[in-house]
Amino acid sequence: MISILNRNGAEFGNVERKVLFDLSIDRIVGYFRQDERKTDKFLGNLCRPLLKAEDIVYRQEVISDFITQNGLFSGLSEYFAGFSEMKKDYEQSKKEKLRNSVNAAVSDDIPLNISLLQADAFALKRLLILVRTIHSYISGFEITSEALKSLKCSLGVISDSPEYKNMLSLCSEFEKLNSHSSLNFLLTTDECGEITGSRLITEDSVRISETSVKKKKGLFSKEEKEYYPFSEYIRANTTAYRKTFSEAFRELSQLIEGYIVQILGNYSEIAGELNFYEMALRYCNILRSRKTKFVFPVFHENGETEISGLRDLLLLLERSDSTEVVSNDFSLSPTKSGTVIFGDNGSGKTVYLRSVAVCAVFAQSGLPVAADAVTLPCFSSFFTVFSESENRDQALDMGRFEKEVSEISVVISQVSENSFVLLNEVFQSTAYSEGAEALSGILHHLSCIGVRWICVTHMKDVLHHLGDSVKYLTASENFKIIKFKFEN
Amino acid sequence: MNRPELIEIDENAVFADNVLENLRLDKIFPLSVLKYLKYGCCREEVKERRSFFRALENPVFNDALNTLLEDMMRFEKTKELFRNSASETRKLYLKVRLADIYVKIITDTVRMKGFCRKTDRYAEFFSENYPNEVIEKMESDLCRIKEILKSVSEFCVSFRSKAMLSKKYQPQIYFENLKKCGDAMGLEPPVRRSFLSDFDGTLSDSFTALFRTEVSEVITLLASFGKLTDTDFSSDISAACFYLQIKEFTGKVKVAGLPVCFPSFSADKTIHFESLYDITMFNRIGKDIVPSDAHFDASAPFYFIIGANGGGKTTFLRAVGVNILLTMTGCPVFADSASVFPLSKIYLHFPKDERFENSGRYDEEVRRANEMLENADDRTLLLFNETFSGTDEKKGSEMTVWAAKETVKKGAFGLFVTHFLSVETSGFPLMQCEVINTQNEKNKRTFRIVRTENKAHSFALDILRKYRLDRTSLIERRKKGNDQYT
Repeated sequence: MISILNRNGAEFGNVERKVLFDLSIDRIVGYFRQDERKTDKFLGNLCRPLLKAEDIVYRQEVISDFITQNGLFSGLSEYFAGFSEMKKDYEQSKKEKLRNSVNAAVSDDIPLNISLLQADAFALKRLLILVRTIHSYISGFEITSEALKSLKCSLGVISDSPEYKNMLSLCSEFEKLNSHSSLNFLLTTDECGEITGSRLITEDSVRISETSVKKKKGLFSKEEKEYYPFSEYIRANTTAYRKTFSEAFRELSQLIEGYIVQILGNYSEIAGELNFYEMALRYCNILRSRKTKFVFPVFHENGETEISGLRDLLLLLERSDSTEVVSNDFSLSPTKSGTVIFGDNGSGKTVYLRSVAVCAVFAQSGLPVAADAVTLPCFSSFFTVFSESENRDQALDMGRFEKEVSEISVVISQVSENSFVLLNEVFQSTAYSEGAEALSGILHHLSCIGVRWICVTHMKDVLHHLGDSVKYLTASENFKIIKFKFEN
Repeated sequence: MNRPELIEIDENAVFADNVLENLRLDKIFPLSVLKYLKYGCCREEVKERRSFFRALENPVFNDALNTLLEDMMRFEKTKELFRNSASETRKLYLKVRLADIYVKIITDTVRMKGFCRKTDRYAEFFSENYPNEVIEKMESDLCRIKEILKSVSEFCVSFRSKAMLSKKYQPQIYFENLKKCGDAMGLEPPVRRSFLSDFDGTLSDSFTALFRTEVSEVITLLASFGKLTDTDFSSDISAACFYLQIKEFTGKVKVAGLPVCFPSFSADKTIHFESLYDITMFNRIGKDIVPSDAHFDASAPFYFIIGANGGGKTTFLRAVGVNILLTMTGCPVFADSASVFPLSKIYLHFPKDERFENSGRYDEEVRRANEMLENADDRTLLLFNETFSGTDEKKGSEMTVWAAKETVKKGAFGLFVTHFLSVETSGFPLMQCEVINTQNEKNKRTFRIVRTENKAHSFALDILRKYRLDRTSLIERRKKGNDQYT
């Protein structure tokens, strides 16, 4: 199957929908959303982050091609929509075919089998023509992405094949068949005397000459052509007769059907994948319309994280004036496993956490991000543990702590090396010292097992427990929209 | 001369209807085996069957028998197809196939010589009727027939102004042409499903007319094979299956580490089984079956078996019955070692499933017991399971002891499972359940049946211990906390 979204053998991580909601990604996507189905599929793609840099670049290149090659995306969308339509029609007709074949007497009906072969031949012909059309269209662009190049190449295998015309003309021959045509068959028997093969053969394959069929040569002489022995066959409309000769048409139908299914199957995902790119292009267009710089992130295997000029996407999209959104930097060296963010209420800690996390999720889906420069590792999975709403009944506080602990225990059972865990104001509902100790214990555990994390908290006691293994940032009060500086 | 049988059945030595069922042999053997286990056999037949089973231990013989069985089955299947075929062309092909398989069967039997008397006789029959030169001629004729059939295996049918059959001439097949195109485009052809259709009557006639010379040559060559469609291998197939299925089952039992042996015949009236077990439990519990010993002699030809429910009394009864029956049918038995006085009859008295009113059930039990005892002789094994339980203890006990006395009077061997504890004082030897393990994985007690000279001890205490409700267990509960036992 050809995919312009995923490289062959691409590996995927996991992001649960809940993470997208915690990071407000659903709200962000709402600004460039299409219809419900396309938006849902787009979010579905964000839930499957790519794990290898080359797989991410595969998508980034396609987006670049679509941005730079005017008309390429719209043309392909139109053609592949036709492809999907054809697939739907074909599947519908197949269902009807299945319904017919349920009745064995009907399934061995010779005229019915001829008409099914005609329908299959017609569908294959249409498909071959569409493949050639798309191939010739895509060939008119200077594409650079590996994905679109392989799509073009794959279409070319069919449309540039020396047998392309032969296949079309065979399909045309089958379309013209009818039960009154001169039909010829080759029958094969096995050692038990059963007929094991019944195949349609060309008319000139059968050499029969009867005394009545003589060619005149000259006025009085008659010359007989080659003579091959034959015997007359009195057709009887028996079950065996119908079964034997229907098979020849069924065999051809089955072969054609196999080809149709393969071709449709090869490209069946493209239309859906183009929906992802449609959303991606809308997203890029919005950023461009806001005069916001966006870049494709670079991925490093050494775990280095370096983001400069990062803007929070939700704030960008919510505000009419994008200059109001202050950019921030984020960095985490390979030797540090996590970042603890302190700061006063309202200083923008959560926004900062979100902007970094959204950047990582978008980046691993092959999307550009609103920043000046981005270098990231590939995270294997993303998890969020955000504190429960503070408006809840105080009586539920104990339950709230337990719920967070339970949530963290689920996360801990699922994380692996290179997971990215985002904790926001957890354990607020318990005693400060107990909460800090519990939180630092968890963060220490995450560090020990190779998980990268960001934790927003007001519990400065975690400092005493974690030491130098992590980085500490404090939100400055000078900025309404967050800006961070190091605290040594 | 008729083909010798691989298994001889003595129709007169048939066991009573309920024997196989009550011994639960249907839990381990298929019907194809049970149909032979229904009949006891003479000592000579027992010896020959044992020799057959021993020969099966040799992989060469085992393989040869399996091959023969396969070919005989193919022969019968082809015969069935022949009978059901409406087309003469198909019938001709099937006759060729029958001849081919028949020649194969003849050569299969040669491989079976020198292992046991039954198969020696079987192979001799074929070698006498089909000497080497005859076989060679058959093989060469078959070779020619196959060549002819191959030459006519493809032909063309053309529907023009009229329909005609013609010989094949470099046909251009649409399927192949289309597939060639698909290959060039990197498209895989789907896996072809198999297709089979018969010749209809007129197609068959046209075929015969088109290939007149070839068909008549095949018919001539086939004449020398005789009327193979009358040959019947079904009884040989059943017999071969019997041996192979018993062998397969005993093989599984051996792999599980349980003993299998052939009993020796004792000249005096004794029966001895060391570590005998009820193999009918094998499919359910595998190698965990508990063995017991069984010894019958002139001083103790009969036992009462008493003991707790679930203690294995019926299992022991069945173990004895099954293994005696297997001895009588020439099969291996499931014990460490065995020595058995040759018996000719087994009678079982097991409770019937039907619900009788108390008096009705008792009458029926008495009738069956009488019938068994009337037919018993000094080569009989009588097995009673909870007989006379359909009446009060006094009457039941009296009848139980009466049955024991009658058994001994007839000179038969017998076992009687009963709950009537008064039999302890009847003077007949007793067997009872003995606990051998309480610490197995499932914390479930296992028992074996042993002969006892003493009175049976209190079973009530056993049951109390089993449920940790006896005095000692109750003290332990109080010390360790009740939870541990709940």
